[in-house]
Amino acid sequence: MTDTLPEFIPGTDFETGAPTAVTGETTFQSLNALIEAFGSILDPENRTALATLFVHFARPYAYSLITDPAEYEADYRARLASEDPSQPWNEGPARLSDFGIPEFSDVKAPTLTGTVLQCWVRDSYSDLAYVAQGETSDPKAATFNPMPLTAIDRPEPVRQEETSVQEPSRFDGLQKNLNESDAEVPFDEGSLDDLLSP
Amino acid sequence: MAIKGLTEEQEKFVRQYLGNSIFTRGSDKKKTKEYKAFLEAAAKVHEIIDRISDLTPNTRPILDVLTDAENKNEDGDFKTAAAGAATALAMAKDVETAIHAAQSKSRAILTLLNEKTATPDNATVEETAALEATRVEIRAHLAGIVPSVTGLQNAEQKIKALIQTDIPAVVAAVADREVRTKRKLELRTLLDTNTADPTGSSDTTKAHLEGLRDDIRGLLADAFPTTPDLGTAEQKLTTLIDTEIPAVVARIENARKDIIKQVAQAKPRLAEQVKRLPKLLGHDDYDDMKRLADEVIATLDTATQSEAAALEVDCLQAVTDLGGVPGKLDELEKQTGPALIAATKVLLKDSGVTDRQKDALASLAAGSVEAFDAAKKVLDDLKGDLGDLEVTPVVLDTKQKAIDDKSTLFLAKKEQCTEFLDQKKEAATKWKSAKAEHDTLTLEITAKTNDVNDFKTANSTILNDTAHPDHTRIKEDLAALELAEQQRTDRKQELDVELAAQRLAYETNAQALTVAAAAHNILLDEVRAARKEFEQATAKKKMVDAVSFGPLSATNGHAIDPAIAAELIPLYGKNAAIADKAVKSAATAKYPESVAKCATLVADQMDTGFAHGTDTWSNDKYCQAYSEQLIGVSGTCDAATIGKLDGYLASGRQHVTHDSFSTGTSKERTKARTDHVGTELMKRDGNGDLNLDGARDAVLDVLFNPSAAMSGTDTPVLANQMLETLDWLEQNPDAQDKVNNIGDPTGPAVGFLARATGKATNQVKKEDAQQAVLQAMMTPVYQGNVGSCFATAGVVRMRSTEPEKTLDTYVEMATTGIFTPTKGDPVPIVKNVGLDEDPLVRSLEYSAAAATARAVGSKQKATLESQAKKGAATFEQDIKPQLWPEVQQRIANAVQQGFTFTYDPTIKVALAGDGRSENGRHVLLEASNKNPVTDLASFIAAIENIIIATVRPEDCVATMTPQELVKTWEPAVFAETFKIKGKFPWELSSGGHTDEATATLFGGDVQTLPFLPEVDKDTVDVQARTEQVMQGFLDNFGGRGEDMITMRTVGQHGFSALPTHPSLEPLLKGNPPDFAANMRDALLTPGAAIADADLPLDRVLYMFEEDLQGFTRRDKDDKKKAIIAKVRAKAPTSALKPAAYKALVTQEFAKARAEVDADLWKAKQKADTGADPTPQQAAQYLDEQTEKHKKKSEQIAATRLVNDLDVPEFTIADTNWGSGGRHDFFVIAPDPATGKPQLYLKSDPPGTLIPQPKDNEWVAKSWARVE
Repeated sequence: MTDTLPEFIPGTDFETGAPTAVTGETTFQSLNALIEAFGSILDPENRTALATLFVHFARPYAYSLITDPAEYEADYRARLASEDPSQPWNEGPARLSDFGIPEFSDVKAPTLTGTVLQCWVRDSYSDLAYVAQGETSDPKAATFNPMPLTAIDRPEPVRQEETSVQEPSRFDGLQKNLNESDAEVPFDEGSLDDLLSP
Repeated sequence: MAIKGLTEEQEKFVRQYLGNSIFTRGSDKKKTKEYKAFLEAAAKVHEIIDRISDLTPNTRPILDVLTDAENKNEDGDFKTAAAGAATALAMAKDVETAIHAAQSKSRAILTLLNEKTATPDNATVEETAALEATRVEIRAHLAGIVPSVTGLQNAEQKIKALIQTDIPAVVAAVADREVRTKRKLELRTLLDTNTADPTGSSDTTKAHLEGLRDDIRGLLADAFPTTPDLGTAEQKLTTLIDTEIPAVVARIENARKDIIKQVAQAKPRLAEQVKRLPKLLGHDDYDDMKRLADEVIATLDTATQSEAAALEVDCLQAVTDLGGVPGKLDELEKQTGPALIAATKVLLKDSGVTDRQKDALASLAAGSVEAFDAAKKVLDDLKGDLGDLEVTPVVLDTKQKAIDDKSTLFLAKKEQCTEFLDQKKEAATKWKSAKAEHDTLTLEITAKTNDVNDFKTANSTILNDTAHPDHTRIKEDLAALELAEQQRTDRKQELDVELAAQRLAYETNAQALTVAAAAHNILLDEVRAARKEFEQATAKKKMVDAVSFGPLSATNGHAIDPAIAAELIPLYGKNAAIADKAVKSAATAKYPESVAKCATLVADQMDTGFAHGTDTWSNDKYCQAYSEQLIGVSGTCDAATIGKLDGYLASGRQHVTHDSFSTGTSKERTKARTDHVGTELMKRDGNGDLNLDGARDAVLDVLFNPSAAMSGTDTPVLANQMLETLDWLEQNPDAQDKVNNIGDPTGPAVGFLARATGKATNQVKKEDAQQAVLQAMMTPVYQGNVGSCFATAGVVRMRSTEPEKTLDTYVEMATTGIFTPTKGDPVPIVKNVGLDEDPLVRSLEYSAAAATARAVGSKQKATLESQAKKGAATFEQDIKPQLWPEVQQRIANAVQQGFTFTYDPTIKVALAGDGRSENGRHVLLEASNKNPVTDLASFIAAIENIIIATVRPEDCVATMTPQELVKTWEPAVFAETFKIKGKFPWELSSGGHTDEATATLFGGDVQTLPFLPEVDKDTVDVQARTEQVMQGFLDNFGGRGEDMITMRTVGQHGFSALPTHPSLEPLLKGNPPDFAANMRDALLTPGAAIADADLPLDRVLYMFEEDLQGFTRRDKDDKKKAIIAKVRAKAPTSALKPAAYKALVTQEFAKARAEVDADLWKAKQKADTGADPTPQQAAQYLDEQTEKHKKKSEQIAATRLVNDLDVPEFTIADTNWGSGGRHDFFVIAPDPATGKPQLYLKSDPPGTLIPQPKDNEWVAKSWARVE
């Protein structure tokens, strides 16, 4: 046990790829081992460090802790503003407007209740906010659930050019019934004689 | 003094040894005492001896000891005498005790013998005797008053053995016999009740089974069969019951099936033969053929009855008996075949067909006399107008020209008639107008005359008095009145002229119209006659061609079953276009019989304009188009579905308009149709159940309503998916419950559904979620415009193979707005989906892609981190050792965070031309500025910045600084660690994460397992490579039980292998080692034979003409005629092999079009510039155009060959591509031009093959399975 908490660098084991945390010459292979060596990491003032390492040991490189909810909201809104919601989805960079917008006020600082840690994280792929929750003794078993999102108003997406060959035009204009003038019938001389009758 | 206790004599005796003492000395007392002891002991010995002397002979030793004691006593040695007597007494007591013990033991043994050795019940005589003998022996051992020790020992031993061994053994033996008896009886019962000869056993089989039963009976014959015998009997009985008899039953069942099959096969063959016979009347061998047929009839009659009766008796025997039928039929067919061909050819004598066509028609008769009769009837009916005209393309052109010429005259005459009619109408109108005015004037003139007369009468005095002051005024007034009268009179006279003129004009035009109309009507009749002639000629040619080379020919690659052909052929006599469409559709349809039924129905409906009550369509072209669309759809309808078409049309539902079915894009139309069925499905019945029947009925609108049928080809796959889903729901109440239990949506699902349904969010209810889920299940999954193939392949597979899981996924998405992958954390569903398509289906594809991208992103970051950590080792010597691990990790993290991979779908990396290829690849960006990293220099520059920013001065050894670090390092070494398979991150060829996508959807650790490495697409031997693809496919997927397994062409496309597709059966016979031989026999050898075979000239001409029509289908009249004329001039003149045909079509079609284009181009050039292009320019243009058009002409020829020739095809994979109207598959089949394997794309419907565009790029890729 030490009073001063050193900086822990999240990393991975060179051989196995499993998550680690490094400080100086010491490498911790689990959060449990780290807590055992540095119990003060459980102190309230070290909650951010604990949550950062918890997220790393749970899902290395998949999420990052939201340490400043206001900054996260600002980034999110700025990114939303830079997107054109009328564009259709594509498999390129994830676009926040494809998903929606969270209730930013629900994003909080990490909490530790007993041995259960809860924190709000940013998905590395999409930047969407997730809620992570689990026992500090078993980060891998933690749950990561997306925050509820409200769909943003969007215009009808730009319609894509159709890939399949359509042939509706073959029948466009093909009427079910012929106009009288188009009917191919023997020519009738007409019945005008009555007009000339007295 | 007397010695106490002694008699006098004894005292006297003893005193002689005491001297004269008076017995006072101690020694005397001792002697006396010893003497007394002697006397007592001796007396007791004698008492005992007296008691036991009769019981044992063993008293001598006692007496000897006693005698010795007595002798000592006599000698006065009382002490020794007393001791000897005591010894004798002890010995006597022992003997007596032993006698008592022996007697006691003997009694005990006898008690046991009497009480415990009863012979067990059911002991055998032998066992009883043996036990009794033992008892006798025991008793013998106990004989006498006192048994001997030996006797007792023997008796004891025997009784012990008897009780503990012998009797239990007998008991056990009895029990064993009981068990064996019971088992024996059981086996006998089994034998008697379970081994009867199966009904239908042959005598041989019966004898065989009886032999087996006899063996068993023999083993069970003994009263108490031995256990081994029982075991053997049981084994044999088990074999008899479980193996032998079932085998017989199976053989009988197979035989029964065989008989039924033989009968079923023989009956139509016989029926066909019977139909032939009338045509063979008069043939020299007619009687023989008739007799043979009668024999078969008789045999089959018996056999038919045998199905119910005779076969029950001796089924296996009947097989042998029936074996004669096929042979007789063979013989009969052998006899009738040539005779029939000869006879039918005679019947075709004046039908206006060539000898080759007669052969084909005669061959048609060989398949189905009814089909031939139908064709003959069509020809006979046509003969009335066509006579014996042989219809060639030139004839058709002539007849078309006749139509055109007559039509021109007709239209001119019609115009003239119209003019006459208009003029007649005009004259009538004018006459009528003049007449009206004339009539008015007549009345007015009369009035005016009266006015004048009245005025004159009234003013006669003044008029006659010229001096009257009013004379002048009155006279002027009179003049005015007279003028008015005169003016009207004048006008009336003009009108008289006008009336006469208009009457004349009317009559003249009427007369002219009468003449012109008569001519018009004559011309109309002539046009109709010409058109009829053309249609008849077309019908004749189309039918004869179809019979000769098309799907009605047995040699066609998609030959139609003769029975169905017999139904289709009469259509040529009704409507050649419908017949042609039906035949072509039936050739590749899943349900050709449905096509025949539909075509027959709509051909009749054509006559009434699909009338229902007063609703009818007068436009033949519309009716024709609708009919053809229905025929196209019908090929995907099973018998039950197409059976509803008649009722649909009879109910008039074809006249109900569904505007949404025909409005918008293909996606919108598809969605509208799903909405239609989904809405019906949600109209729950009184029990709250889904309205499955109503939904099925609504599917009929999707299939048959003109709003759908006449609006693109979005229907068949969609409708089938709908019907399959409805069936699945009906068969899975749990699935219905899941839908019924869907509650009001929550969270993001609300907005998603609100947008999809167009409702306000507060109006979105559970019913919307339920309907969305149901419609998603009814919507086929195929790759969207911007979808990822790697995700779509998994979704396609999941929907096909795991409908329950798919339903669960849709339910979760529609109720929570979350997609939970099988592997990985939940993701919010993608809400950005077009409103023109099913929202859940497309969102699932996109959401799965997003979940995959997350997994890929984490993996890529981990890879970068790992690579950076490895590369950072180059700095180790410059960092303080105690800080090195931390600094190394810090560098690795900084690199990981300093770069991002972004997938850019707009980058076309492969196969840009076919519209379906995998576009896009991952691009490496600097995270800080989003600048792409495209080369080593920019990568190293970025890394240097990261190092300087990450490594602190205090991290470094004394002589080093972060800035110095990047001056002295070896960047190339560092960068080298980032290579994956020899390529830097910015060089990776493309995306494609089929393995991650598969893991996302199906879980587990999924890997891409290549079975063919990538090769150079520009130098690859495409067909040899395709053979490797086929072999690799068989090696990797052959024999697998899964219907779908994810596979990929690495870096290009992810899709689903179909290991159980029925088409693969010939390749998958036996075991994997057989696959190569199967491929040789089923693919390579037939392919080589097809490539090597000459195509007869008339067949080549047929194909040539068909392809020419296809090649010019979209050309306008003049251009079309010009191209056709040029191509026909190059028509083949001899038989050709497929390769030669393909080369001819490729070259001449393209050249003809190029020449026509060149002429137009030259004319335009001259018009634009005033000068002709130079010969060199013209030649260059011609060459360029020819090359340009070859792509199309080559594809036409290749498509014709592979679909017309009898090419074996093997469907290997589902591509993910398609629409509501079609489903695309990868197929490998021999290329008829080379005989070698070729990759094709099969669109179903219609089920035709086209060569896969850019096949070199496809087959050159690394092929892999993903699992």
